[in-house]
Amino acid sequence: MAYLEIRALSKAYQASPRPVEALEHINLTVHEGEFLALLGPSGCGKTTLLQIVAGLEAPTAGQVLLRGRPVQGWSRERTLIFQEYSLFPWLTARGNVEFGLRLAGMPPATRKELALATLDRLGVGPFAESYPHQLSGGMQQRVALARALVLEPAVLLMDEPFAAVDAITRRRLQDELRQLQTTQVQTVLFVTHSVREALKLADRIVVLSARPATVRLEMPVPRPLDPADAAMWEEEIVQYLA
Amino acid sequence: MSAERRGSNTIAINWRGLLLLAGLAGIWELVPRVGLVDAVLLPPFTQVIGRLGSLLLSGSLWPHIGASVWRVLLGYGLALLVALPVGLYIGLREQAEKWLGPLTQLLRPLAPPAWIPLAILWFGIGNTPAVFIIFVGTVLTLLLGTIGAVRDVDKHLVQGALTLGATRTQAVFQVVLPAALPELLTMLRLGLGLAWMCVVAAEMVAVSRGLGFLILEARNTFNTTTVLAGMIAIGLLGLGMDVGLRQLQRRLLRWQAGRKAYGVLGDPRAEQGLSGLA
Repeated sequence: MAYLEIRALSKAYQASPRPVEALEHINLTVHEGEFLALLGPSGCGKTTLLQIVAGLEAPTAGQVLLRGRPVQGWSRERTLIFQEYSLFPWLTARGNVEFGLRLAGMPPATRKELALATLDRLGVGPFAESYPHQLSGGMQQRVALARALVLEPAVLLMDEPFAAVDAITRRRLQDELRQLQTTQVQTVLFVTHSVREALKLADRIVVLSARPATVRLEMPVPRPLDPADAAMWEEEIVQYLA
Repeated sequence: MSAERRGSNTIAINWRGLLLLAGLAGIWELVPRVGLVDAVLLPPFTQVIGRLGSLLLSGSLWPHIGASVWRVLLGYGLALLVALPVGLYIGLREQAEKWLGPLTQLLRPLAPPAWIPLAILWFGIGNTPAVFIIFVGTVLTLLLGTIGAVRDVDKHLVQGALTLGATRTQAVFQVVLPAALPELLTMLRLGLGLAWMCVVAAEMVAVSRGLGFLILEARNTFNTTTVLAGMIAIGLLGLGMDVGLRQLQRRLLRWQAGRKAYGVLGDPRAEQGLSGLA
């Protein structure tokens, strides 16, 4: 049985003179522990798809199933990570990581310990008591990742999470995310417009067409990926994106 | 707590502003003294300050201050009590603005004094119409300010909270409100200034106490010195309350500390290629 299944999903927005089709009949499955990258041209509806999986938007047709059951609304099972500025600026790094735990009713001492351990694991332990504006973009994203991972979500939804950080930080964050994802067996649905990022991170790549988005290509990424092969794959995927 | 930390909690004295005030007071002092203006129409600054001091010392000013402060607090408090929850409710809903737009545009040009006749017809004379005028004079600004503050909250913060397990109510009280707090506090300060602006108009409504009453009564007896002393008292009270709110703002927004506020022309260092990002 598929872990996460997107079944015949369509989304249209009301607009004049006629509705805008964002997604058209998308079928996708994600396996448990799999890292799936969604690639597509800008404005093709990747983010809309992620929002629907998160339960923040309703589809016009079709459904999303998690472990065989249709999802209804939002839940901490499907945590969303954005490009930037998503940390609560009035809470410290630790306060941010504790946010979900607190809502879940975990006692203060336990959640503090867990939050500190998670921040440590992401290399931002020393900044636990710093406020977001005191942290660099890369460190903010690590805290955002810690805040999501500490809840052990069934699926981690990431919307171009490294698009706003500099190239060197991005490469490091990618390496660390990949490592975390494999050691923790975390299922990830990752939206990006960078072919290289998708090839580096994902177990499988899905290429969406321009609006209305349909699935144009589904391809597993062989591991380990030979650099020469990577270049070849990149060429090929770019053609599908055009 | 270190000395540095304590230092950041007190409001630095604005020497430039005080210097300008001192300069203006000097001009004010000289203009009637050298005979440029009749001292009956513009008594010298020191005479006005002296009057303010003697009114304070004799105790005759305090009932007026008390009455005005009470009206401001009551009228403004009631306006907040209405504007904050209603503004929050409207700010959270997309359609509400379309309902409310024409109404607010219609009410906006009505300055507080325009409500005086109606206030008297509805509430007679005394405290109630005065409080009503402060209420109507501030409630619309507070309402629109609250709606704006709520609407300006980054939707990613809310969506993030929801997918971290927050219910809609938890997202409103634990994310929308703290995120809107900086803008709400600024609005609170603006609104309080507005309430003080309304108080003189409000006290034109046949009350027998209050700084506005004092000023109008002094005008009737051609007592320019007391008119100006009363005006200065209103200015000082408004300033004092604003300083109090600024302290509150600092305390509540400590998480913003260190965030640089640049003027509209941006960070002057950026022009020299020394921007904070570099």
